[in-house]
Amino acid sequence: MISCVLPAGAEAPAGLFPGRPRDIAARGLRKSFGRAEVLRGVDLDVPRGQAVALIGSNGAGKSTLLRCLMRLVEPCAGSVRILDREIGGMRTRELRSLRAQVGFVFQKHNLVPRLCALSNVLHGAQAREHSPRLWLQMLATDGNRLEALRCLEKVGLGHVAERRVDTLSGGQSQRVAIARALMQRPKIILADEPVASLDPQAGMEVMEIFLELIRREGITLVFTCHSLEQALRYSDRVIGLRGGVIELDAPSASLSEQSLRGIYASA
Amino acid sequence: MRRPETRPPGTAGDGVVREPSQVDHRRLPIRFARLGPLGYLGSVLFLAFFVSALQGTQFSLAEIARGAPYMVTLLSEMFPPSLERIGAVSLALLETFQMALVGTVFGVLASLGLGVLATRSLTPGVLVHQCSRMLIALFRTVPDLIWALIFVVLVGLGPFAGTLAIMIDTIGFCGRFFAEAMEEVDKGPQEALAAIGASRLGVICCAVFPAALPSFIGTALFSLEKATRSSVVLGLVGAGGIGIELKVSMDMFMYSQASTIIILVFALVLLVERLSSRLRQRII
Ligand SMILES: Nc1ncnc2c1ncn2[C@@H]1O[C@H](COP(=O)(O)OP(=O)(O)OP(=O)(O)O)[C@@H](O)[C@H]1O
Ligand SMILES: [Mg+2]
Repeated sequence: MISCVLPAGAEAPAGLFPGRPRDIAARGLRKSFGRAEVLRGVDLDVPRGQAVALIGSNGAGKSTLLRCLMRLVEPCAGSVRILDREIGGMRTRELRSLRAQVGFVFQKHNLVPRLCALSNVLHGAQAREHSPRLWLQMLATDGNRLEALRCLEKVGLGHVAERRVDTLSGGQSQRVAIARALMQRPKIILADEPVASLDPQAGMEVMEIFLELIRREGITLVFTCHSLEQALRYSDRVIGLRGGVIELDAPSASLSEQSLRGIYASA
Repeated sequence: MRRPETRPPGTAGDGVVREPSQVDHRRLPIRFARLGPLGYLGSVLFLAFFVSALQGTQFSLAEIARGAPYMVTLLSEMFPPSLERIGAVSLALLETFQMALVGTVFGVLASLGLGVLATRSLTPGVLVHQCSRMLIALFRTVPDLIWALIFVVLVGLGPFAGTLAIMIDTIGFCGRFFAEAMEEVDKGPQEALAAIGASRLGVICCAVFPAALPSFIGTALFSLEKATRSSVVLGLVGAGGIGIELKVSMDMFMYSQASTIIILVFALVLLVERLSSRLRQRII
């Protein structure tokens, strides 16, 4: 057993940010694929502006949990409140407008190849404005083009706005994907192994960008990663998933890499 | 021929590379798989049908030999090509290409819409998916000449009927390949757009169309080539274009005029093929 596991319902980790509203609140989340139970009752509260690292071994259900939060995967049971709105019974239209406020960054950047970086970033405004003018940068309004360029500048890529994204490096592509998330003017960013396919230097740059966004713009961040060093360094709080439940939930400051290893022991 | 073994057996795995002539031929796989009873029956039936088909088509080398001298006469009458009606013929050729172009463009546009409905991952429902697939299959399997006959009845003689026939034929061809191209597109960007909260149309236009674009353009150019060839023939049923000119000159034994038309058609088709393969290379 891991020494710093807190009793269920403990206030401490969320309490790092006393009085802040809870941007994410999940209760009793369950998900199975066929007979395989991946999530068996996950409770999760994330207050505004907190950076949470989600760790766990391969197949522990980290990606599934993040996807369930936005109903990219439909949970089997449980409830999720995002930005104080219950997403369970939402109709497509409402769900879209909620998704608009949550940036999702994937391990694979998932940019649209053959389009330039600016067009890809513009797509971030899709849910806010359902306008065909957002399909390509050449059609977009100057206001949107300018905002997209600002987003690219925030990730240090103002100079590649016109380059096709399939000519960019992995690190640059991931930063464009973050810029696309920023174009959403997000309140929350969920990032599933955002740096797993990047080299250490590029990975560090990406995580620094995330950290700065959180500190400066008050965005709430939940990210998964397999590097304990990064999990500790770039988060306020670490959550460990094992066997489909949360087994560890503690402020990063109170943890060491050694104390986290237990989460990877076979369940 | 098999040479006698120069080594004792069991030295095959000793790592020594042997000359090909030293390879033990018994180890080689057999060249032909033996036919089962069903395969045997099938081959016999096929051969029997083929022989009867030779009869049915009155295939005869003698007939070819008898026709050969006329071929020489025909060719000599065709040359030199006559430039008498070159103006009218050129206009008809232009009309032919116009039919091909307009029919292809509208056909491709319609295929984009129908193709989306026929793509499993994008279709709004199973029924819509099945219906659009069936429609595309119908357009593809009925030959263009028959569509031309139908449209001549519907809209009257002239190039418009031919254009519509080409459009339908193009939908049959492009609709299927567009749908296949869209099914193969990377799902990642589509999921990303869905996660942003984009509408279905947004996902299709932002993530699917751009990714499938090279394939779309390749297919569209192929179908322009195809349309150019078939627009030549559609004139035979009165659906516009140069075909009718060719038929008239052949029927009236004006072979020197016919040869002009054939040469012009050849030049047009070749030009379109060349241009389209250039463009394809440029884009893909
Ligand atoms: N769409 C799906 N269909 C069937 N099984 C799935 C599906 N998605 C995930 N799973 C299964 O759910 C389990 C958890 O997968 P998940 O991707 O959430 O793990 P993870 O913690 O993100 O792992 P990793 O560290 O490898 O990314 C795995 O056993 C996986 O096989
Ligand atoms: Mg994962």
